[in-house]
Amino acid sequence: MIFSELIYNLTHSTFETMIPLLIVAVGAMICEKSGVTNIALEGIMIIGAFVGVWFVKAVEPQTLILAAQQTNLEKSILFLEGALIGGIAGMLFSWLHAYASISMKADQTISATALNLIAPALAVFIARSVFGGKQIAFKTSFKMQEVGSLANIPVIGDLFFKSVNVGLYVGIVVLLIAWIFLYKTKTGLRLMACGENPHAADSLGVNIFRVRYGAVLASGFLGGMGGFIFAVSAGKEFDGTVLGYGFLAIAVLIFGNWKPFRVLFAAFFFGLMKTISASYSAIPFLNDMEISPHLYKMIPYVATLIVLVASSKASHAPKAAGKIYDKGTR
Amino acid sequence: MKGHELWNKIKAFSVKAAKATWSFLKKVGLACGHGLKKFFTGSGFRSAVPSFLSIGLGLVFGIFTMFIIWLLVRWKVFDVVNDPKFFLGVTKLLMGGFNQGMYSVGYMLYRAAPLILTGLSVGFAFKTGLFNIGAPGQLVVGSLAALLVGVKLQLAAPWHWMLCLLAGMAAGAIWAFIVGLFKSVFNVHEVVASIMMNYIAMYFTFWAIENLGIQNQFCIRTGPNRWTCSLAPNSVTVLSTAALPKGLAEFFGGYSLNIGIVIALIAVVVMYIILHKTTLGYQLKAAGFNREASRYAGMNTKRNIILSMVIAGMLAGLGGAVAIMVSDKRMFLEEGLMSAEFMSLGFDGISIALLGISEPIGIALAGLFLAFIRQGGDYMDLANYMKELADVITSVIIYFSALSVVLYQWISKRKAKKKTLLKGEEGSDER
Repeated sequence: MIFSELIYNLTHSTFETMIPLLIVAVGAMICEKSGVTNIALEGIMIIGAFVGVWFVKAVEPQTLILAAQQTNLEKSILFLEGALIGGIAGMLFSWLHAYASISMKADQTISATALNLIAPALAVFIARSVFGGKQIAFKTSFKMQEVGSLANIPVIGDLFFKSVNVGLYVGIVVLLIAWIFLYKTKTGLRLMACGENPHAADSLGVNIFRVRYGAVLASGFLGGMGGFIFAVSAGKEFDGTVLGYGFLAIAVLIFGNWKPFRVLFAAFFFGLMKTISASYSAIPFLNDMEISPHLYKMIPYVATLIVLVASSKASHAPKAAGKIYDKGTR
Repeated sequence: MKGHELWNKIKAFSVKAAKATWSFLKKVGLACGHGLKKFFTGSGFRSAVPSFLSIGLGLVFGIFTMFIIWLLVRWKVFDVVNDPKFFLGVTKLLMGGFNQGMYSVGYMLYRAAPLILTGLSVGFAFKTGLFNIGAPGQLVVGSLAALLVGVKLQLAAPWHWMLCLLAGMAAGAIWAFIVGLFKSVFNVHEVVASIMMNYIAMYFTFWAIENLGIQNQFCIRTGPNRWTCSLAPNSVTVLSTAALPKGLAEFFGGYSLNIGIVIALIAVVVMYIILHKTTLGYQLKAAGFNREASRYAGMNTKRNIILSMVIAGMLAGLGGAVAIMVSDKRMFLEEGLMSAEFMSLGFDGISIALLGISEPIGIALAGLFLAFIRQGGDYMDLANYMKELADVITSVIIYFSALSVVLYQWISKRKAKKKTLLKGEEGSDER
């Protein structure tokens, strides 16, 4: 295989892992910055993927040939619709977490854990009731061979506009919007104030309640969307699990130190490690070493741990994250 | 005359002995009962009320869902092959572990043992202010270590399985120690480190099964005295000397129950004593309430973080050992099956700890309850309901338990308010 082609292939499969992680981690970031931890993202991803994939299955062309004949535009529209529906499902689902942890002042870990338990049970339960099995299979392949004439740009075209799906651009847009929202708008800065010192923010007239609700729902939307993108990037069926990506996204968030572009880097790093561990046989010098594939699969996790050790000394976690806001505590 | 004296002596002695025994028994009973009594009368029971409340609400929700499904099928909203039977389903669910008499009780207790142990692991970490989401990984390496010792060593029965249990505990402890070390020395968030360690544990176990010679073989006879063997995608089982003895199995239908549940209950008692009767437990709990304050009070917080992680890891590892030390239990070399059979026990530990409000006795009850309701879910298949409904119900119960703590506080606050109001009125009447 030609070296440059190898690089392009690795990049594309890195994107597949990285984009869902990035989107979900951005959701988690918004949520944590408002002062609510959201370990429920695993469950939210499952619900988003479940509903989104179900939607795709319902509206896509019903034969394999027709599904394969879809143009890039049709594919992209279907993708975006699915992502939107999945996001809305995730948002509605995350309302349960918001209600418990903000309105009812319940322990955020408990309600999030409950959501993580409900989601797979519900998805498998409904899938088995409706489809007879826990898998939901769909026919559309969302990968676009070439994105118009942009694919002809020498290096960039090969990296970003060949055999990728729209998720890549969605992810980048989400990151940019989140960054602008958090650091450049009044609402975003207020949101971060709620996570750092809710009492001070409250005394200045910020409605902690409303801000936190908004943040949790936004993270639910992004979580559901990320779940859908994960499901359609990984294969052509969804079987009620997102393989712990919700937890990994939280790891990426902490690794990225709660900062948008470091989160991007963290997601990329993790995606790259994951790609290397999955495709070591395609990389000549790794394949020569004859190490057990199981050890290769440990690479992303070990590498993340090592990087965390190197970077965790100065943690920028929001100070009030995970703490219930009670006006009377001061 | 002499005979009479002797008789008197014997009588006096036996009365004395009886009295002594009685008082001894009374003391033991009191000591044993103290915990339970405190649990049922003291603040322990009162803090358990939300759990009971949410169990009730969760069950009501589950039954309601079953009713809706029954209605939908009756109204032909969607078609199923076998119509669900509503009343049979509800009975099967609520009968839980009692569906087939002693046999299913035995199976429930067998199921509950690793659940209680992982619940204790997560609950203990909660008490000390840590979220041990790493229980699945600790459990898997515990299973691996127990399996290795149970296959590679040749020992007599009691020593062999005891050594396996110790190996499981040690492996879990080491796995958790790494997380504790990272947290206390490098300030790495324990949740992230634990999640990473979970995955590493799984792949490490796969590697170990393949490369340390404990992979199962699948042999076919190809001729006279000739066998062709290939590697099967699972591990071998422990030797019979390393399988947990089945003391009471005969009584419980003769199949599944082993002494795992006894080990779990011993662990419950030990954890109760550590948490409530020792300085160490006090220190660790203090760190859970307020880490800064406990450091200010001169406690070594770094050491305490590592220590509580190690104890939590030991419990999860023990749970893993108990789970694998059964004569026909294998670990599969596939991520999905591994997650479903072993890792999920660790994640269940989180629910159990939450439902059992992190108290050892509560965790024992919660573990039994989870096993009970899962059992009910399995039997629900007979009424044409999906067994996944049991998982839905459990998760709804956990959600309600998150809410009910608050509901309960709210109710008791209102009660207190009413009381003070009433008192005030009485006071004014007297005047």
